[in-house]
Amino acid sequence: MAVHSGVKGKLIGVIGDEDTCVGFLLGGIGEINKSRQPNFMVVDKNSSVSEIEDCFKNFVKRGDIDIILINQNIAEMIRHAIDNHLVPIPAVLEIPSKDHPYDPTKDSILRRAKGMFNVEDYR
Amino acid sequence: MTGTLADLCEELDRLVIQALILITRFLQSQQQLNTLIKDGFLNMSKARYCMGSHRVSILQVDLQESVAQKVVAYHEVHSNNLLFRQYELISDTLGETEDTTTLKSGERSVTKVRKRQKQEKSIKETRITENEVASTVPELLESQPKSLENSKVNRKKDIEQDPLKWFGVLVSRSLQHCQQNFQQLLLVTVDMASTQSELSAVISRFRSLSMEKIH
Repeated sequence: MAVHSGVKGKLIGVIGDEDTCVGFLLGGIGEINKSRQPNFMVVDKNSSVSEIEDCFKNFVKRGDIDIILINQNIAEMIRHAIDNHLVPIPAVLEIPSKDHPYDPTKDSILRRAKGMFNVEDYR
Repeated sequence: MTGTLADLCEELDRLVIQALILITRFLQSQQQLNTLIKDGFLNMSKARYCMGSHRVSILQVDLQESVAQKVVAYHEVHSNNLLFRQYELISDTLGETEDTTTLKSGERSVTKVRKRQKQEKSIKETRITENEVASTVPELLESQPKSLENSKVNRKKDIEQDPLKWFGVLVSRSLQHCQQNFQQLLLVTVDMASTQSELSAVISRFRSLSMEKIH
């Protein structure tokens, strides 16, 4: 199914380590908006959890981002914020990083899906 | 939608099966994503080895006044009492929908050759009509420099917009492969976002119906 050509597309945001951000920017998703805010955040050893959380909340608040890609090890740092994000837009996807392989048991959507079969939730 | 208990149970069963199908699809896409991202990182490391570690870093990225080449658009799908979003990757500069087949470099070159042949044909046709030579020659002389200028401008735009150029004019082949890996990765990502949206809708519906069944 094709989306109408007249529809204005929205951005993909990235929160990740340097290699992840460089890779996706190389793919052509990078943009700096009129307020000089980029759609990516490079997380290094000096980045604090509050900075990452603020960036995530800022991406959620921005109207021009539809999908947020976040490294799973960084998502673990702000798990509470990701679990509280229940609205469908923007969609938050957890991706592996260079040092940390993907673990399906930590993924927020798969944990929610697992909850479908958990009887305790309905008591 | 309030029917009998049997209807409710049947609907719940259908949702569970749908959820399982979607989880499988999500995990398959995730596996594909893992492979692509691994290849992408490997090619990036090779490029760093060839070009020097400082040449391939975030500091080389220059996003001044540039717009994203790849953006996403969505349309809402309403089926079986479920409302979810179907995402699609679009190329903002061309205004065309991305497809997995367009990423193959071979097909790109074919389309370019076709365009060039068409241009040559049109030029030949204008040359053949001898009676109209006097009228067409000045037009051709005027139009050719314009088209050349346009092509130069387009080529310049392409060079400016190609993120590979941030890392130099003659970049290593590995970096080009890395770019291809991440472009394919974007397609997988968008597909996963669609699956996730549908799965999320199924979970919400299942929860509401389960509550209805309990109470």
